[in-house]
Amino acid sequence: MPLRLLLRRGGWSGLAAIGLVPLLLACFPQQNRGGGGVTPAAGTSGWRTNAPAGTGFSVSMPGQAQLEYETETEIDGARATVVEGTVVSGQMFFEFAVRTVDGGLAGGVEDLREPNQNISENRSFNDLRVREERSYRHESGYRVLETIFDSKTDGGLAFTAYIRVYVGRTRVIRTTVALPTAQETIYSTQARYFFDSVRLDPADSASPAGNGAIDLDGWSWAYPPEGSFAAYYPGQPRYTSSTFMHDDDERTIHRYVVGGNGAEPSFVVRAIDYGERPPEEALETARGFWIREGWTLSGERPVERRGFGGVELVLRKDGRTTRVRYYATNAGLYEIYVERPDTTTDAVDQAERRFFASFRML
Amino acid sequence: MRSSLSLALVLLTAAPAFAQGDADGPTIRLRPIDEASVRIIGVGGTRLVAFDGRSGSSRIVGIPETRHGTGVVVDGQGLVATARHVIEGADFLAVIFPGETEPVATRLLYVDPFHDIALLRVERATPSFVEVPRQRAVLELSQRLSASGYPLEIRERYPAAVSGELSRQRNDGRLQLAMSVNPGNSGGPVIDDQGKLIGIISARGDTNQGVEGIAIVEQARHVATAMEAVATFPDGAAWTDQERLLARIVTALARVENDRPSYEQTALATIREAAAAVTTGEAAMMVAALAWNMHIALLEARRKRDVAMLDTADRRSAEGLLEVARDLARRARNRTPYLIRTYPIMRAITAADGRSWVPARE
Repeated sequence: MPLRLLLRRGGWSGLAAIGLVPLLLACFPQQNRGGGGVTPAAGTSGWRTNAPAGTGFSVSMPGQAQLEYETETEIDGARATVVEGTVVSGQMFFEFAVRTVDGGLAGGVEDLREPNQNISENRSFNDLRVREERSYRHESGYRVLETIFDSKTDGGLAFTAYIRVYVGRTRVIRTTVALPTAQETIYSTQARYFFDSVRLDPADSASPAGNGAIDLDGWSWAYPPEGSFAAYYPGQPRYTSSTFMHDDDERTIHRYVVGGNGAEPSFVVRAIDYGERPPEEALETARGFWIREGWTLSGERPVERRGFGGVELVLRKDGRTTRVRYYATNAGLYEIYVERPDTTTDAVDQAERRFFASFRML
Repeated sequence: MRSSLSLALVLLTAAPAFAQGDADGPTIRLRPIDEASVRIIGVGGTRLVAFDGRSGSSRIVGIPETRHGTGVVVDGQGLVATARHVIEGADFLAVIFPGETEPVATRLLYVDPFHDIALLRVERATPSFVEVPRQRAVLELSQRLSASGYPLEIRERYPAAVSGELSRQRNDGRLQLAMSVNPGNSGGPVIDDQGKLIGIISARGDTNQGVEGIAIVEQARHVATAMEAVATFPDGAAWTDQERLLARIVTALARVENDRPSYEQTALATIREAAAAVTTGEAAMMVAALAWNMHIALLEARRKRDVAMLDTADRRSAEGLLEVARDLARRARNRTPYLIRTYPIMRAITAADGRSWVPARE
């Protein structure tokens, strides 16, 4: 089956195709669909810039990619236009896909991880493993999720896929390099050159990129799908999660943090799934937690946010102050706190007020 | 001229608060508790609904996530007690007094984190109110109790009375009544045969589990405690035009039948005023959603597929609504991008770019 057809069948989620790339390449070792005529061993001379019109995206590839256009429908009815381009050079597979959504992206983190989920759920891969995954911000302001997958073809050929997904305001851009794992070192120059050549339209980077729209002063909105909340952070929050047992059920805590290194103030939201527990009971439990950890309660008052009731506690311990707010809903408990040294500045006070005032349960 | 006409219509349709009934039916007097019972409407986001329009085209509208329940006026300065769960998750609230159709500007003052109690303030002096007893009530099992409230139909102007008897006190301190209450009764007052406030309706039997004829009531002493807490708050800021207009927007947005918005000239005028007054992303999206819905409702009323097919006067109205919707949705998206979660109509409006956007079909 032609490679192009395999890609078209999958559309945006068509990364199944890369699982077959090494096999195809083994059959046609010197095929170059893009016509660049450059073998991997020849380095990167003769590469061409591919810049599909209207995408604000360009990348250098070992040949001119043939473009495939598709129109898809988002879950809420919004129209998405997808343009894909592939070049096969020697035993390397290069691909990009730009998805532009009318009206902007809604999902954010979901958009970022969707290609990886498609790969993980695809049964045509054998022994699929995520070797590495990291998230960072591209110089253009786009959020990036970089993943390295290892897998095997049906014929037992081990191959590696490097995937970077860039999320902007209206676009999600996926770039992929796949190659036989045994030749990873040999072809690393080409792979790096491909990724380093990516250029993105900065104008599309300044709004809901999942975990946040970046403001000029460095504050960003975070509204992750795991937590069903939104908060305005003085920076880009880091995400971690952990589990705990409650009533024989495993519960998850999602944590989003800015700061937290020693003397710096920490800005934290924790979304705690506690099942069907009544909100009142959850609030009581939360109140006792800090006391058990050795903090001294120096103030308490009721608070509300968007109609949900909660309590605010002010706690002190070892020269540090924590102001924490709990809001209980039927879906879970939200813990929002700022921990900082007792001696602090007006700027920290202002940041703390801004952070608390921004919090919303969605 | 238009506002004078609206006022005249309101005056004509509003019956005196002490009695209800039409010319041919009986005159029914309201009890003091009924005069103090108010309808509470809250909106906390919109969901997208697509339907096939009369002109054969697909339509997409933002149907409000509405909360509606009952409250009881507890002092002469516009303090209203209700159940916390009635207002949970609401971005904006409105209160409508018995026999009236126009809402009154409403603020959330206090949410009890441990009991199903909340206090609101309305922009109106309230001579009809019930005293909240400061002492614990002395009750007897099987004692006759009565409630007032606004169950089911959101357009009914007068409260409905229902009575039952005290079944028991539950372990959590709440009272269980043998009383048939329905959605909309929540937050409503329960009184004894002397007219003394016993509590606030908090829950009812889950009919899906075969439980009927049960009402759960928060005791009135928790309302008294909440009032004491509120009394320590500083006096609120002056009421703003935004608050007054949003009360009308909330009510207009909530008035949909079978997920179809209706076209109302009075709402059209309100939208224009509100568009100039909004200061928050949530407020902007509320007005934007109503403006969008109204333009769809106008097209549906005229059985036209597109704005360009309307006659001159209607076209001017529809274009004005679209302009308001687009401008507000863009502002909201830039400042509060997380609202795309709770107001997904944001994407449809911004994608429409001034046109009556029709969702693509799967």
